[in-house]
Parts: sequence; structure tokens; C-alpha cells
Amino acid sequence: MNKQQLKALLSVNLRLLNPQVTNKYRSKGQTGRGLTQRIIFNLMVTTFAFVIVYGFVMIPIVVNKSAALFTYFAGIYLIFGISQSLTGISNVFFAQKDLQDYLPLPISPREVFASKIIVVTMNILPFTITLLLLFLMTSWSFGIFLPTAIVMSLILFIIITVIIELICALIIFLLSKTRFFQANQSLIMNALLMITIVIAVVGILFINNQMDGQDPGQLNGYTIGILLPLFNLFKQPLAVGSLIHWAILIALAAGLILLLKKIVISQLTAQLINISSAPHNQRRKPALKSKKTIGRSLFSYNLKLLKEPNLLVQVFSSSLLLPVIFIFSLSFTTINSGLGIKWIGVFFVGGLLLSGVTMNQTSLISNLISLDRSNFDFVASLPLSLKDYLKNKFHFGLLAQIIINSILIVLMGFMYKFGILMTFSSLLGSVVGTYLIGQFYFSRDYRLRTTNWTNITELFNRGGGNLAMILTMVIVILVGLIIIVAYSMIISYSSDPWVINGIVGLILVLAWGVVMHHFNRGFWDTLN
Amino acid sequence: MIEITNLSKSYGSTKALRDLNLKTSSGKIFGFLGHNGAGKSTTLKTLVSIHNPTSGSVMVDGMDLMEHRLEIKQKIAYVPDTPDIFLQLSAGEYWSFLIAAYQLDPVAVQSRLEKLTSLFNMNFHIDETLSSFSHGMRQKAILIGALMVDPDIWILDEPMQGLDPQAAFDLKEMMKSHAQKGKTVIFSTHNLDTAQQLCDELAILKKGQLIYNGPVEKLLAEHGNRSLEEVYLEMAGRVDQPIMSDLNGEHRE
Ligand SMILES: Nc1ncnc2c1ncn2[C@@H]1O[C@H](COP(=O)(O)OP(=O)(O)OP(=O)(O)O)[C@@H](O)[C@H]1O
Ligand SMILES: [Mg+2]
Repeated sequence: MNKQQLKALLSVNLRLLNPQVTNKYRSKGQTGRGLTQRIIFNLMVTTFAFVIVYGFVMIPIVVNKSAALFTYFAGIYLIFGISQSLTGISNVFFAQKDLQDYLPLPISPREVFASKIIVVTMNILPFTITLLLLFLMTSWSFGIFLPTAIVMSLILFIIITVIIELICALIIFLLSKTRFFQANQSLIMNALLMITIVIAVVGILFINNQMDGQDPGQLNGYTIGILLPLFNLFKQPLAVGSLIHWAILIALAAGLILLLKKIVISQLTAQLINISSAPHNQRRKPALKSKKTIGRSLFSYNLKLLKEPNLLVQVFSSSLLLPVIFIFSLSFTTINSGLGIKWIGVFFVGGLLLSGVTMNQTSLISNLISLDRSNFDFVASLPLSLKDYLKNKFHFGLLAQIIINSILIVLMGFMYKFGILMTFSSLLGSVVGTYLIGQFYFSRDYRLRTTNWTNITELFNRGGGNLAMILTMVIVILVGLIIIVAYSMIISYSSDPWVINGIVGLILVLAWGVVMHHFNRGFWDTLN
Repeated sequence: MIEITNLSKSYGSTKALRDLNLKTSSGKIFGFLGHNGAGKSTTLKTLVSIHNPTSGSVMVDGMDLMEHRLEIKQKIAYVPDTPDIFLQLSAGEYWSFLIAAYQLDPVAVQSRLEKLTSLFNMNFHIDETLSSFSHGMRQKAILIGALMVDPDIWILDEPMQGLDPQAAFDLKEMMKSHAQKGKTVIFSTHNLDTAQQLCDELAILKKGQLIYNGPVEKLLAEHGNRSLEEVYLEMAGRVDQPIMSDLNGEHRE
């Protein structure tokens, strides 16, 4: 390993990781080594914020020493870690498109790979650090001597991170060896991510289902068998079983490292070269034929924009995965079936709020204008109404978003047995919500539009970046929960629920009017 | 010395290069000419390991490119046809990165780098990102990187493109002096005057095939000493000739 090259590669990759953040520090006059340190510091702050948030969530573990709770959290965090690793790897290795820039330079693929995997690790640290925290708190709860506890947790955390990341890396690199992958890179990455999302959701539902009717805080609640050995590593650190499990974990990690050295790194150059000479994507240009078909051709043009490599991966992982995991992991309860029609308003508002959770700055509708790149400036120069063009785009984004939200709601309705009427009411609510909230994100995209981006994550990090996004999401979920709980309480105790529903309906209509007026005046009308 | 034998390269069904055979020797400036899509960049990219040849071999100083990539890359500095690389880095960071990549001693290169930045008028842009540069400034930043590293072989894909006349002149002088030191310069261009001025040896490509290889003088002598433009257009020109006046009359109402 060449240290000089590795260090240089690391500082390059850290800059590529989050171009928007990099640019923010640049505009404050940072460059060179100072800039590198600033970026690392920023990553550490994010990680620390996650530590604080999750630290509170996991306090029950310390109190209860519950194996059930431990395996529950470990299961969720592992799923989280895997999906984040997959996106992280696809993002850092492929989306940044810098791999071929190193090809003419006398740098061996080993250094390139090492620098990238280190950056992936740093990037997903905020998400995986939860595991370390879990280990630490568990070992602490068993009264293990603190320095020992820290070392133990750290080693276990490193081993597990290595295993997760290398498995993900192996999957992606073995896939990338196939000709099919080289031709359909983004398609396969999307499929892979969808599979992880499905596994995550199904996994969480399964876990929740198993715990049905049980208090997860209970000492003898349901435990996930395969993760129990991890718990026992802390409960009985010196038992023979624990020692054997340590050995298995270490052997697994070592085996993966060896495999990676043998398979991936030795063939990385050849592979990169192959990827770089795979036929490129066609350049995009809107096909504007005639007035009659303009709506249709714009629609198919917008559809083509979605072919941007890694776009869908990112959209699904950042805008959907997090809320989905939040939603499903927070809902321990099931809903009594056969709810009366008076609950229709609650479900409507629930659907509306759900669209607020699933839409954020990384959603499709929040990036559709910027996806145009320089085509947008080109269109602006055409003899075509910009307002119509954007209206068309907005409706396209809306449709996409409504489809996504509807699938989610139908899934939830099915899982929690909403019943047809309530599901339908939620669907309507989410359509209304999508329409209103979509206005916000769409005009935000227009306001902050960047048409000269090189990496899709640049778009996602506009404005507050990742941390702000997650904080907003947490706040929206909390406020949403409060509203729903309050509304439900009032409905179930009120003698005349229809008065309440009427009032809520009135508020909604008023809100609709205000929001529409605001965006018509402040956005749509300013376009011409 | 670079020796290319039976080199072919296809992108999917497109045959970009067919059975190319070429030899360059040290101390010479070697120029590639050819219409758009003739295969110039493909040849250069194969030499710098961006592409794998579909078939054929490349030997550099007696070493097979496929087996000794790192050693060979260490001898080569490359300027790509489009200067759209490492856009997120500032010019200074890009140069530092190259210094580390080629494992040079930063102190030893410093004075050369300073001379190059002031020669190309880039001293005031060191802390700006390549993405904020104009096309010509990017080209300069990347050229400075390659010239700073200064290995035996320079491979430059249309290096004069976008440069102001002063910078283009300086670059040509540097290419000449590099060759005079007994080293190799390989470049591609669309500018026939530049080719005539600089090249010790010329390779003309047409649809992926080599149609001429040798000194400029020999080519001109073989064609009754007409101008290089006339000779080149006759050799590389279009197969079927739509008439210019037809085109001018099109789409008028
Ligand atoms: N990445 C690629 N994918 C598919 N085809 C390619 C790719 N790069 C080049 N080609 C094709 O290979 C052929 C040769 O291209 P090349 O870039 O070598 O031409 P060139 O001589 O450098 O042209 P120019 O003067 O325009 O730079 C062209 O037909 C081109 O379409
Ligand atoms: Mg070219």
C-alpha cells in the first residue's frame, strides 16, 4: 500500500463525496489540507448527532438487559447497515464516475479500492455507529469493566462492519464483471436496492409481527435467534460458546478479506477498463416535435430523465428507505379491524401526513427540474411557455410520487388491515398531501436549481444537506404522530364525531386555499 | 519507444480501430490526423490504459502494456480530449494529487510548477475549482499537471484546443524542447498548420484504419508538393460528396 497515493486519493474522494458540502467550505476560503480536515470534521459531527439520538432510543436496553430488545435493534441496524453499504458503495464507486480518471495515472487499483472503501465507511458511519452504540450500551449494562467493554465493542463493530461492507462489495463487483451489468448498470443497481428495501421492510414487519402482543421491553420477549450469539458475547463473554462465535466472526471477516484480495483487487483494473469502454448513455435532448404532441413528448422526455444512472437508487434509498424504516419500525401496534366510518377523517389526515414523511429533498419531484441539466437553459431559450413546460414537469413528478405513495399506503393498509374504506380515505389524503407538499419541493428545486451538477448527490444535498433532512423527517413524524393521536382521541371520546370531522375538513379546505394561493402567487405566476 | 501491433478496438458493434500498426521512436514528435470519429482518441486512450484493446498488442520500451501497466503509466503523462476531469478539485489540489500519484517530491517539483503557472497565467486561479474554469483554463490546468510531472512520454489529445494563441505557442515550444531532450511527444490535432510545424512523423487515420504513416515532407513530396490541406482532404475526405451549394439551399421557403 502506497501511503502518499492513498492519502491523496482519500482527500480527492472526500471532496467528491458531498460536492455541495465541499463547495460550502470552499466559499468560506478553505482549500487543500484545511478543507480535507473540515470535511472530516463535518462527517464526525453528523456521526455524533446520530450517536446522541440513538443513545436515547436505546436506553431501555441498559435498563432491561433484554435479549429481545437487543436482537430487535441489532436486526434493524444490520438491515440498515447493509442497505446503506449497498448505496454507499454504488454511490462512491460508480455514481461519482471518477474511476476512469485514475486509469491513466500510475496508481494501482489496490489504492483506489482502499481509498474508496474507506470513504464508504466514513460515509455510512452515522448509520452503522448505532451498532457500536448498541454493543457499548449492552456491555455496559452487563457491568463489564469499561475499558474492556469499549475495546470489545469496538472490535466486534469493526469485524461486523468489515463483513457487511465486504459482502456488499463482493456482490457489486461480481455483478459488475458480467457483460449484462456493464450494459445495464443502473438498472441492476436499482433492482439490488429494491431487493434490500423489500428485505428491510419484510424483515422489520416480520420482527414486529413476531413481537405482536408482546411488550418488547419484556425480558423474555421474542428474540431473533441468529443474532442471539452477539448478545451472549456480552452476557457471557468468557463462555465457550462466545469464544467459538468470536472465532467464527473473525474467520468470516478474514476469509472475506482474502477473497476480496484474490478476486476483486487483482481484476479491478481490467474491470474498470471494461466499464469505461462500455457504450455510453445516449445524450439527452427533448424531442419537441409539434404543438399537438408536445405534452406527450415532454412526458416521454421526463421519463427518459429517470434513466440517469443511480438516480432511482438514490431516490429510493434516501427518500423512501428512511421513512419506510421509520414508519414500520415505529408502529408496534395493529389497528382494530372494522373501524366505524367516523374514523375516515383520521385516515385521510394520516395519508396526508404520510406523504409529508415520504417526500423530501431527495424525492423525484424535488429534483426533476435540475435533472434537465443544461437542457433546462436550452428549453428556456425556446419559443415555449416556461410555465407550461414546468407545469407539465410538475404533473409528471406528481404522478410518480402519487404512485409511490399509493403503493406504500396499500401495503400498509394490507399489513395493518385498514379495510377498503379507510385505505381509500388514506389514498385520497395522500394524493392531496402529495399535491400540496409537491408544490413546495418543486418550487424549491426551481429556486435552488443547479444545471451543471456532475453527481446526483449534489442535487440531494442542496440546502441543509443530509442532517437537516433527517431532522426534518423526525420532526414531521413526531408532529404527525401527535396530530394523529390527538385526532383519534377526540374522535373516540367525542359524542358527535362528525362535528369534529367537519371542523377538520374545514381546516383542510382553508389550508388548501392558502397553500394554493401562496404557490400560485409566489411561484407559478412569476414564471412568465 | 512505443510499438503498436495489429491493434483493433470495437465499442459494441462499432469498429473504432482496425489492425493498426505503428512505431514511434524517442526524440520525435508524433502527430495523429483524421476526421471526427477516425479513431485518434481511441488510439491514445488505449496507450494510456483507459481502454483495453479488443485485439493486438502495445509495447512500451520493450514492455507489454497489458503486463506492466504501472511501470508504463509512470512513464506517461496524458492530457485527455475533454478537460472534464477532477472538476471538484481546485487547480492546486489537482496538481498536488498528481504529485502524489506519480510519487514525486513536492519540494523538487515546486519551482517547475511555479514557472508553468506563471507561463500559462494561472497563478491567480490556484485555489479555484476546475469546475469554475472556462474551457481554456481547464485545458491549461490539466496541461500544467502533465507538463509538471514531465515523464518521458507525453500523450496529448488535441492539446491546443481552447488555448489562447500565446498559450498555444508556448505549448508548441515546450513540445519541441521535450523532443529535443530525446523524449517522446504523441499528440492529435485537427490543425494542419500545427501538424506541419511540429510533427517529425505523421499518422493519418480514416475510419479506424491507418492510411499514411511517415514524415510530413515525404507525404507532400509524394503528392507533387501541394499544400498539406489539399493532400489531407484528398486522402481523408468524404466518400460520397454532397454538394455544398445543395446544403445552402436547404430549408428555405
Ligand atoms: N465510449 C465510446 N462508446 C462507443 N463508441 C465510441 C466511444 N468512444 C468512441 N467511440 C466511437 O469510436 C469511433 C472513434 O472515436 P474516437 O473518439 O477515437 O475519434 P477521434 O478520431 O478522436 O474523433 P474526434 O476528432 O472527434 O475527437 C467513433 O465512431 C466513435 O463513435
Ligand atoms: Mg478525439
